[in-house]
Order: sequence, then C-alpha cells, then structure tokens
Amino acid sequence: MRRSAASATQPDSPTIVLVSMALLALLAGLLLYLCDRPAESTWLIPALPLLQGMNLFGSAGAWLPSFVHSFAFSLLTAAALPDRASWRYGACLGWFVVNAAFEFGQLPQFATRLADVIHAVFGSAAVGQRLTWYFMHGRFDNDDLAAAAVGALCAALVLHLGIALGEHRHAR
Amino acid sequence: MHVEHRPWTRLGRLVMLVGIGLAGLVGIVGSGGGAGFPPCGPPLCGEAAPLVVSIEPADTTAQVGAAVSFEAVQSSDYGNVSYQWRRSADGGVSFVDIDGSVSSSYTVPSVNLADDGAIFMVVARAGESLTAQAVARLSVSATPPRIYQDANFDLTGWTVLPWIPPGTPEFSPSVERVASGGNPDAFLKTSLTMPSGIGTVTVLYLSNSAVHDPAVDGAIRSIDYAEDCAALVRGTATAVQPMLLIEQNGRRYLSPAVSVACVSSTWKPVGNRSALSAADFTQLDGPACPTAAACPDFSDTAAPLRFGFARITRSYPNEASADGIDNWKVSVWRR
Repeated sequence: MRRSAASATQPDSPTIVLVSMALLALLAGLLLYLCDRPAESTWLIPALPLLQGMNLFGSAGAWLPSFVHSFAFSLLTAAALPDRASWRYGACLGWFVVNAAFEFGQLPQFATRLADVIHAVFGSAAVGQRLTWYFMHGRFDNDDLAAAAVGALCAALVLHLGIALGEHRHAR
Repeated sequence: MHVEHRPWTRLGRLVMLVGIGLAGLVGIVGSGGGAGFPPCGPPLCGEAAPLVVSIEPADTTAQVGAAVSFEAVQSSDYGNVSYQWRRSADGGVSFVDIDGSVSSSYTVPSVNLADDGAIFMVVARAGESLTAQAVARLSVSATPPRIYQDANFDLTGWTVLPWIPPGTPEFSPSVERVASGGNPDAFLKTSLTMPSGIGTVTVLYLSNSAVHDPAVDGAIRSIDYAEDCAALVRGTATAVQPMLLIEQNGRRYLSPAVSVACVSSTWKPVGNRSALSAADFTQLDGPACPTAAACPDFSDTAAPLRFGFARITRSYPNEASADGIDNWKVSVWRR
C-alpha cells in the first residue's frame, strides 16, 4: 500500500502518538522538578517560587524521574528510528543501559575515576564540572535503577501494542 | 509487506536521533537522575526519617569539682520535642529519672569521685509515637589532665609526613606557618593538589615535643583531643577529616573519624573528641600488633607515646585545596 503525497511530508499518526506520550511524560517530570524538588537540585530548569514545595507527587517523586526519563526517551528515539521492531525495542534497551550506566557511575569506586577522565576531557568547562558533580555527589539508588527498567519496559509495551495494532490494520 | 511510515530523510533522522540522545544525556545529568543529586530528603521527598538523638559529648572526663554539661542533639527538626534525663549508677543496667531535668541539656554542677562511671541517658519524644534515646558516660579524675598543645606552630616543632600507601601516587603537600588569620593569630597551613587517579590523601603531623612517657608521667586513663580547623581553599567537593595521631613503638594510630568534616572557611572545632580510650584508636601502619598486646598501650609500663594530628583530604583528582589548624590540644587523663 502506497501512502499519498500529502502524508509523505507529515509524520504519521503512530509517530504523533508516540511523541505525544513522550512529551506528556516529560511534562510530568518537569512538573515534578518544579513542584517537588529544591530549585538548586536541578540544572537548566528554572525555579518557579509559586510552584515550589507543592509536593504533587508525594513519595513517588523519589523514583518517578528515572521512570519518566527512560520511558520518554525510549519512545522519542523509537519515533525517530526506521520502522523496525528490533530497532524500536533496541531504543528501550539502549536508554535503560544509559540510565543504568549513569546510576552505577555514582558508586564511589567508579565516581573518582570517572571524575579524573572527565577532568582530562573537559578541563574546567561547565559541562565537565556538572558531570563531575553528578557522579561525585549523586547517590547510587536501587529504586532509580528499577524505575529506569520499568520505564523502558513500559515504553517497549507501548511500542509492542502499536506494532500489533498496525499489523492488525494492515491485515484488514 | 513492510510499510515505511516515516518519510524523513536519512540526514534528518540522524540529526533528530543525535538531538534526542543529547537531550536525554543532559536530562540525566541536569536532573540528577532521579533522587540522587543532590540527596532529596523530607519534607520534599520520601517519608520522614525516624527521630534520632545523640548526646554531646558522648563520653567525657572531668576533674573533681568541675561542672559538666551534656546536650541532646536531634537528627533533624521535629518541632516540639520533650526530654527526660536519666542516670545509671550500675553501668547502664537500670536508670532513674533525674527530677526536673526536662530540657535539651543537663549539667552536673560539680562532679566528684562518686560520679565516676555514671551513665546518663536522654529520652526524647516528638508527638505520640516518635521516641529516641542516647547515653553518655562520665569519668571523673582526682588529678588534672596533662596538656600537650600548640597554638603557635613553629615548624621546627613538627615533623610532617605525607602518608603514601604502596601503589598510590606520591604527592607533596606544602606546609607553612602563617603569622595571622588563625584563631587567633598564627596557624599551620597545608596546601596540596590531589594526585591524578585518586580522591583521598593523608598527611601526618607529629609533634617533636609532645611525648607522654607513661613510666614517668603516669598511665593513661583517657585522652581528650581538641583543635580548630578551617578549609581555606576548597575544590568542587573538598572535605578534610581531622584526627588525633599517636606514634608508639614504630606504630602509628588514628583516632576515630568525626561525623562532620572540616569544610567551613571559618575556624571550627570539628575534630574534637573526648574520653578516647586505647580501644578507640585504629593502627595506621607499622609492625603488626603482637598477640595479646595492647596497641596502643596506655599502661604504666608502656613505651612513650608521641602525639600529633592527621588530615585526610578528599577531593577530585587534580584539584587544589588548603586547610588550616590552630589551637591543637591533647589532654591526657591519668589513672
């Protein structure tokens, strides 16, 4: 089945759904940082005094960012990749691996060595300092690791349902 | 039949993937990756931590006639907390409430030998369900402590040794006496650059004159240690751990680490410890301690002990830091 000339210049509806879900998840993550976290705990997210301290997400606020991150970026990456199931699931696995690597990098036995490498690569540049800060000051958290895994699995489930739905439509 | 839904060019797709990848990495680092950076605690994240209380000082030694005060310290602000101080005269087996002692501090106005070995407990209550307790031991001595101290820091009175375990890179701290800016006046300043590849270095300072010979000066009952510390140059995350150092029979020992590191640019007594016994010290180096021997040995037949201090500095590799010490004081309580 060939698509029309008009649709060839526009993202298709499954892509729009994936991107929309990812953006909604990221919006929830942004809200969490604006409402539940101290302003100084984030980088590049402005402080909005009106929202601070609202504690919208309660205890879920501790692990939700890790979930949202792997979920949203898995969907965004899958939306930008060629339309193959293996590539899409690979995006989910990839973002979980990235999240896990950054989490494990906060372990003291890795953090100091990473800081050394970062200093060698970036010198005293702001990006290097922020990276170093992340690894040296961040705390390894099993909950973050689990949340990232669940986020990637949920993204894979969404993609699986989308693929199944697409095949069902094609069959009809 | 495979259907290609995405009409984007390869270059466009590549640019988009790179952008998403970069945004994802910035998102991890910038947000701290969940609750990890910096630590997010109550009331913003998670459930309230349990009420924890401690007593400052946890153990103390005082001369007969001196006033001794204990202070209850909470782990965090719980609003209205009530206290009850209790006392045990049987080594902590049973406690009796001390009448009227319901504030966060308790003072024994004038200690006597009958107070030696007394154990004090504080019971803290916040609301209906949160309770916590802590104990402190009081030792009383009939004789005053023998004092070893230095607030002037003539460099000829000190031997400075960078402690370099096998396999770790060498480093050379710069140690100087600074005539002003201490607490007050002169102080000892140490500057160093963290070697590449490690995040912790130790510098040992041994006094050339602060030597206690138990055979002559008396067996040691316990040791109080005090010093003022200031972090003069801090890297991104420099923390300096101040400790008392003892050298005896070719072995060197460190006092326990304090919970608060020296990170402030103003002078603070963060390294202070009281009522340290021989069992509180950890051997740093030297020959292994013989079986059944006391290491360090505080008895009246022990070899002379030389006192000093140690600085364990933690920071990022290649970062410079500097710290100062003033009002170094070791009080040796004798049996």
